[in-house]
Amino acid sequence: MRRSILIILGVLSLTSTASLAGDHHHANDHAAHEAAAHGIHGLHAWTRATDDDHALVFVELKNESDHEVHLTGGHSAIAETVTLVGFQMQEGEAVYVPIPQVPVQPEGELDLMPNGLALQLDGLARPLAKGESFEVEIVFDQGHLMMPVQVEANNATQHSHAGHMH
Amino acid sequence: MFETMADLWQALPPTFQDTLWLLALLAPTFIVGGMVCKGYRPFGLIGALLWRYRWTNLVFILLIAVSVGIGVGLIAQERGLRKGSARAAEKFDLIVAAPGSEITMLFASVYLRPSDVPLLDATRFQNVASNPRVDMAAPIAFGDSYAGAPVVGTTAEFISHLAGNLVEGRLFQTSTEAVAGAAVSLPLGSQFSPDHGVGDGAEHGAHDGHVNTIVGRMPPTGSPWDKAILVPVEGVWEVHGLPNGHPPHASDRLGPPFDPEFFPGTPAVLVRAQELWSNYALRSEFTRDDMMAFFPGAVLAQLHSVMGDIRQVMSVMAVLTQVLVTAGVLTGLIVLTRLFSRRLALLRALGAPRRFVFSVVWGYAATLIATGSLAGLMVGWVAVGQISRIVSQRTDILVNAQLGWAELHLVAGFVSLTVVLALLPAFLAMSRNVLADLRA
Repeated sequence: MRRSILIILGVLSLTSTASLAGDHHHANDHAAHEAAAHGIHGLHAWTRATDDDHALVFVELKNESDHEVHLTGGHSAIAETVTLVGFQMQEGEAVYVPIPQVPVQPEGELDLMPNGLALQLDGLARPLAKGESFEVEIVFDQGHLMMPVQVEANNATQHSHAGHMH
Repeated sequence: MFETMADLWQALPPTFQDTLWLLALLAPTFIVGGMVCKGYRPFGLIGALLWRYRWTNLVFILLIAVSVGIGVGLIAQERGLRKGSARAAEKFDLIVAAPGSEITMLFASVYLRPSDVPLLDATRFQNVASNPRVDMAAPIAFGDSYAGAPVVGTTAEFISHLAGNLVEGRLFQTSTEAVAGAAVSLPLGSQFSPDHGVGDGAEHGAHDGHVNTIVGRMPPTGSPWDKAILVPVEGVWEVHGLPNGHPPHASDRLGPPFDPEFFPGTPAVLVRAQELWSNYALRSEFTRDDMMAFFPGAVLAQLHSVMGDIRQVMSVMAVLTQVLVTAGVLTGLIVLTRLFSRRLALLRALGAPRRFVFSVVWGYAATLIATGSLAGLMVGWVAVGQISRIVSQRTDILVNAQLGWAELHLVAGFVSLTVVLALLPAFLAMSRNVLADLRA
């Protein structure tokens, strides 16, 4: 009987340790997908794997400050230019056209997503492979936000962690 | 080196890239043809074979033509429908409505396939219309019809935005006047009472006593709005026994601003801002628990991505069909070469080299394949025009499908693959026993 109790306690202890380790790992994992600066919170930046010299970066942004901020563009070490673009239908064809800025209201959210707003990376220095990541500096009128970007599959429609609470 | 080549390629104009692709796809045909016919002039004999078995050859050509025509026609049609549906939605920058399905609202407000949807109330409409970034907030009130044509309540500003200047008459100036779409058969001055509802379930005579008069006609827009009758939104509210958006002392007024106290609600609002970035800001602002805002173009792009999958399936089916036809044609060519094997054996007996016979048979097969493929492009061109006409009639969306570079590339690839495979029957014909064929 005593032996059985000891075994059960041992299993519980191991499970608890594994769970704590898992939580820690998950927390690290979350941290790798979000960033905050100047009252702006960014989450789940991602792009699609590509061999082309251009790519679109999508991200969920929230303005947690008490004043309006303006998203204007970005920079990245792996691209010659990073431009804020918006999806549009022109003559029946889907195109992304440059946009000078987009305001985000206080406590407002702005989702950059496929068929909507995006940051367009042109002149990529290398192909992007699924699973790797790189950094993009998202530029606002109030300051910059360094954001890790996850490279998803070439046909992905969202970040692989989309929907997870952070 | 590779990067330099890639940069050079990207710098070329699209038409030049497409032309180079076409030539690259056709290159195997010319290379094989040049090698097979080098040193010989088999064309006279090929012409004689084509004429001698003209009816059999015609059947082969028709078989290839129908196969190629169906393949290219299907792909071109899908592209035409995709472009037509997108063009029809171009004027609808941003739609704001009560929370629900974006696709349902897209079909209802852009393609006029009405559904029962909740109304956007006065407070929310006022939020939208009073936003400083909004240039136009036009109610779109659907749900009534006349003789199958949707009767839609909106503003004169919306009509000008949708269709530009009228081709006939003028815009409405009272709540009982109407502007007809380009394809509505009612002439100017016609009077009608709208039915309540649309389609088979419409209640005829439900709005008797409310007579509208057609006073203007829009130019064609290539969208379902060509078959619609547009009336002032005030008129739609009045025929349903509701306040007309304006206080009693200004009840004759048409269009904005609407008085929130007398605003009964609208299924959808078309919102327009001068700048694209403002539309994104507005969508962000109007996406709330009690409202939804969406870009019809973006929703359509999602639907098109599903259609893109269908297009891939159709492309695979088209290629498979052509591969099957190729297999049939090659089998038929082998049988055909047996048909004139005695003549070829006689040719050999008279001293013709084996490679000359090889070039005659291959040239004969290549002529059938090339002629059939060219005829296939003609079949595809005619089929695309006819199918576009039928689809436009059925959907009210102007579908103007045309054969493009993708179809030319498909046919060029088919020709090259098939003429290379045609080396097989030529080889078999060349390898036949001359004596046995002469005695046969």
